[in-house]
Amino acid sequence: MNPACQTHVPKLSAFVDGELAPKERVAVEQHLAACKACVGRVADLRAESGLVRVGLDLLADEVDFKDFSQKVMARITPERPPFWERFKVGFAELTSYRGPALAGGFAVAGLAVVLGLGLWMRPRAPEGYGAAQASVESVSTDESAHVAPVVMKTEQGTIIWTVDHADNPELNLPPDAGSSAATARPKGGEL
Amino acid sequence: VKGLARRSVDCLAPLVACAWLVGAVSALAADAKVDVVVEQVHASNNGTSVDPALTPMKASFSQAGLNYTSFHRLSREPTALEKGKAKEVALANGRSAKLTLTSVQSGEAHVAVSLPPVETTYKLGREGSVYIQAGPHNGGVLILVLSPVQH
Repeated sequence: MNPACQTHVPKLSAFVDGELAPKERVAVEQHLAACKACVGRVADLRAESGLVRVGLDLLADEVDFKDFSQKVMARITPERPPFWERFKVGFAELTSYRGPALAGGFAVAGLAVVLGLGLWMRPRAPEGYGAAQASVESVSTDESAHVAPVVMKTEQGTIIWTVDHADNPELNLPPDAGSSAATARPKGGEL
Repeated sequence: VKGLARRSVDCLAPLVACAWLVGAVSALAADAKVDVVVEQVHASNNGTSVDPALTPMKASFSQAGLNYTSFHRLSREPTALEKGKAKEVALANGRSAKLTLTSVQSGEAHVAVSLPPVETTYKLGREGSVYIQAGPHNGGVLILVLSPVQH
């Protein structure tokens, strides 16, 4: 083996595999142009590489690749642990790294619960009874009925009475009707 | 199978939440209801007997100058009123009254009372009653009393 071959023979395998840098590849190609022995070595390496590839292909054909990807994915992502286990791990991480924030959150939540219970348990007016006192908003009568409404407010509530429209309203009240009622009477037929 | 079940739960959870939200909104949007107590009282000057529970009513009428000497309760019935739906009340003298919840705004309910020829609207309150003359009855007068429910 001449000195030039001693320099290039170690690089022939990488040359065949296309792993040399451009400068080295050019140098090897220049050497191959002048050295028949190294050309033969390169041919041997290529033949060997082809045999290896064919052999591997034959081996691969014998292997059953059914469910291959599922098996690989199963090994990459193992069975999901139970919820309680995941919760415990997550909670442990939370308390380790965010303890003060967690304590603050619990304090706020507790305060919200206490306030909510207080609001929920407070005495509430039944539906529709937002007003403290019942109050009459309007009273009207059918004009053809010839009666007029009389509205009298008392301590217990409101009295709505009707009197004959054509006559003096006082005549239709009971004989003992007092002046307190008269003061609350409206002038018209509708309030 | 576990994965399928987990995916099903993941898909169902938002649906359940949406259904709950829709239900809650529907409940809030449902027609309002209020309860009132409807009483019929016979007032007359025949005798001096007064039902003990009607003593405050007698005092109110006296204060208004309506000095009936006898007050008797003929009926007392808590009644639920639904918005927009007239509730008919048969009166002891053969007439009838119609009660309608017209609106509930800011927690205050407004009720229309139709007792021909008188049409009345009033706002419910936790205190105070509305006494409406409902016509003659047995030598006296029939009074329709609308009172708040006691809680």
